[in-house]
Amino acid sequence: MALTQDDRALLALYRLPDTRERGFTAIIQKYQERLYWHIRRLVIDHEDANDVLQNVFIKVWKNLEGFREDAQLFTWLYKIATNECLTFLEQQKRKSSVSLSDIETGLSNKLRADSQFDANKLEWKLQKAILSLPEKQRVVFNLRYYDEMPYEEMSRVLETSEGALKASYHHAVKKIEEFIRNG
Amino acid sequence: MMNKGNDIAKELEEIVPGLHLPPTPPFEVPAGYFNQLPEQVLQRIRSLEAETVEEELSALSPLLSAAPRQLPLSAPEGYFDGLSTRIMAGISQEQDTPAPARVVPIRSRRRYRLWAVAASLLALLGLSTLFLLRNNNGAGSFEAQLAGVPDQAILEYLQSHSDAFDREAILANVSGVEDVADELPKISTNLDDLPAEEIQQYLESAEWPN
Repeated sequence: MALTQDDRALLALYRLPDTRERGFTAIIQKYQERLYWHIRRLVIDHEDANDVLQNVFIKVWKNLEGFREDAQLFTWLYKIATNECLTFLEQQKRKSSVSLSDIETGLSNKLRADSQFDANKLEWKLQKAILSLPEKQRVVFNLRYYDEMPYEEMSRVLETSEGALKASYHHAVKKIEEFIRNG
Repeated sequence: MMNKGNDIAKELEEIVPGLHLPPTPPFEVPAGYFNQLPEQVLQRIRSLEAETVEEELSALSPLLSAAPRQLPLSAPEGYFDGLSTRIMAGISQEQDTPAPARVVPIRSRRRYRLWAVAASLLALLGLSTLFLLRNNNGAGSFEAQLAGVPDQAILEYLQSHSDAFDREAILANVSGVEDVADELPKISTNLDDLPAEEIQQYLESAEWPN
């Protein structure tokens, strides 16, 4: 999928030395919220999401020169953000030398620590159910359920076949439904 | 559960008499699995054929489809307002900060020292060996030492340490065994193919110079 007209204009601004920072600021402003929520859903805590998001944009700044315009900027940003989240979760795991299930428990604890948390409300039950999924399945579910991302685009973000992503989403939905019914 | 026919059981009895394998596998299917299977397959097909995310979800899980698709988490008020400025400030700060001096980990220096010590020891050992060989260069002395080595030890050493190139070099350089070199190809061109007993027999029957 080719670059949108708007992104092409932003990149043109970025590529001129005089307007480089202005162009990049506009790119941040355009994508910050979508990327923030994508990250926040995976790392749960706002401070962690803020750290990861800033790292994502710093990485983008360093690598934007090499971005090929035959791809969608948004897809590329999502790919960096997803990788950064998975790396962050991996680091958390290594730092605390605990198992993946303990990390999930840690994320559930962060969820419960939210001032709005209400275990009886369906939207919170859903969050707990999502946290019970394996990391990559969680990414697939979030991208489809919340971002309504087409499988074709998701396939480029996660470098996985569309068939595998459909199967992964199907299994994720079934697991979540079971979790909510039994939980 | 499917039962094996009598013919199959008879055939098995003929092949392995007295084995008496159980006729059914020990697996179990969840209760009602086959009743639900057609609907599950149709659900999957409907989700594959769905054109929108919503259609797909309602085919897969009416429960989730009916649930509010609203994330209960929230960002602090005004968080996005100054975000781009904060990120740009971070980028400027990173660009202004000089690159830190390269840190050489202590471990790698320690490893380098270990390698240096090992290399020195090897060099010392090599020089000592050379010195000893030069001082004991009499052929009689070397042959006397070689004669003291049991045949079995030489055989085992050659089997485990030599290859085709070594064998050619040994045969070409050891004096007084030209007849052995002539005989070996008749037995085998590759020592690896020879059984140990055959080599042992050969070593015992051959007359070795003292």
